[in-house]
Amino acid sequence: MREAPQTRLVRPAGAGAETVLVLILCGAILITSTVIVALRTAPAVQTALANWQIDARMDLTAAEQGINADLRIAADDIAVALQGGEVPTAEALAAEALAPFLKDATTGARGGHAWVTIEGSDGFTGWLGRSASPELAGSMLLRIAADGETTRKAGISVWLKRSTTATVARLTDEALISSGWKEITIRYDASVTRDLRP
Amino acid sequence: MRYSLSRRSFVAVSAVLPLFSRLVVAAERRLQIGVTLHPYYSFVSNIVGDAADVVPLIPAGFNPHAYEPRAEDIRRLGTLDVVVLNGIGHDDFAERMIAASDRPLMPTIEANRDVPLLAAVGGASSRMGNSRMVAGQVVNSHTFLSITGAIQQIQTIAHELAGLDPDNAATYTKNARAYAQRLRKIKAAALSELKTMPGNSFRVATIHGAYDYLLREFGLDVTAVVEPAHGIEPSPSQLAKTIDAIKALDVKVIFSELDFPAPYVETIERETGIRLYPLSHIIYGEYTPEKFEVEIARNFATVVRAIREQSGQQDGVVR
Repeated sequence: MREAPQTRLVRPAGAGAETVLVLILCGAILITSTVIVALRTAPAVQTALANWQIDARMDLTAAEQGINADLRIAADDIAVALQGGEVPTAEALAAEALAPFLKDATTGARGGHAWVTIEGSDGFTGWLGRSASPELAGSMLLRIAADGETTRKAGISVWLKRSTTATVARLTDEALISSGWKEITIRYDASVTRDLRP
Repeated sequence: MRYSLSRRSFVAVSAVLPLFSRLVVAAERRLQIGVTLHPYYSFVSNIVGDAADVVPLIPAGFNPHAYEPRAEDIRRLGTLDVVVLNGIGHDDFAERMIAASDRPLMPTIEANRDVPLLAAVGGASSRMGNSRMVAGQVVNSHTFLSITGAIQQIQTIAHELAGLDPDNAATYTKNARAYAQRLRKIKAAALSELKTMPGNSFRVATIHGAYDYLLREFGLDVTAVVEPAHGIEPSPSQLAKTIDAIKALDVKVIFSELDFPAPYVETIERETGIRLYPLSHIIYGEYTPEKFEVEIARNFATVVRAIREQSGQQDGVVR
């Protein structure tokens, strides 16, 4: 007697359940990591600038950035002269090969500034560079404490006015601001991948 | 009585002697200053002269772009008194090394503290609509590739070292000023070779985003950077887009890398027909005090030659 053929249901091979589980796991990992990143992210600390200040990194032209950097290193040599009781003229600074006072091929490409010394006013001494081409670089002013003491907060500052007729009557913050000058600010940002010590 | 005096003297001498010998050792011990990159070795060597020792953290021959600290390098850190850092992205390995060393709280000097920093720009440059700036906080770390940036750092390092080693403060200040003077003369001599600068139409591109500070000294802005990110080669599709962009922008000169030539750079030269001028990154080879002066002078001479040849100036005269 022959047995009746048996019918077995063979489901097609598939991994539907496993796929769902893996997707759920991936979703859980994504949600967890998103929450952790969101909780641990510290907002970038941005120092707001006053309306009479201008940011050296973001708001200056290439030529202005170059002159600003040159003025800040020249300030070290100038401060030494001031401490010795001497106020160096723009011509004397050029003779020392100090940029941007030294006239060379780049002078015109960086605004063609004509530099003059503004002696002793309000405890400061200044060096004014009047621009011939404000579209390349505005007029610049280097202001240093008259006694050459540069460790004070206001010891060295660089100011900008995008005009060919920029003048300086007095060297106080208030006088410069009221006549349209803006102080160039620099900020130090350590590498974003560093884990800075407290 | 005699015995008691001798004994008292002996005790007193015994107590004072170690203190005295420690003072003598301290007086004789020279400051050990760690540096991370070749330019900083030159800066610090010229500042301290014979008054202190300068110790590179990375042995000569390693590429700082891809350096991973080794155990022996971390161990060497324990002998140092202070480490001079670039701190803005070119030596981030140093902080991890210090944290893993015997002296995790070792003093550091942030050489770039007072340098006006430029924003980092990758890809085919922000001026081509491909900005990679992050709120202006990611900065270009190559401040050491310009004379102005170098002098600002030399002033900062000398000031900080003077505070750490007051006995030699006057020497450090004097040496730093003399070194800065020599560097200024290099720049002045190079610029005297140019009669005038070309106008805004003189556009330059660089392969590596390292030369913005150097080109600022000439009043030049970098129009395009070929590498999509610091030290990363472009993909073929990025390269094709960059070549098209360089052609469209009418770039006159491309500054390439002297020390790591890559085959794709030749492709750019062939496809665009624009001449490449190699500049030194000053982070390869032996550590020597004169390395920075020699290589930055060569970089200035290369930029001057590029301007003269590609703007039609010969013998310093515009034609």
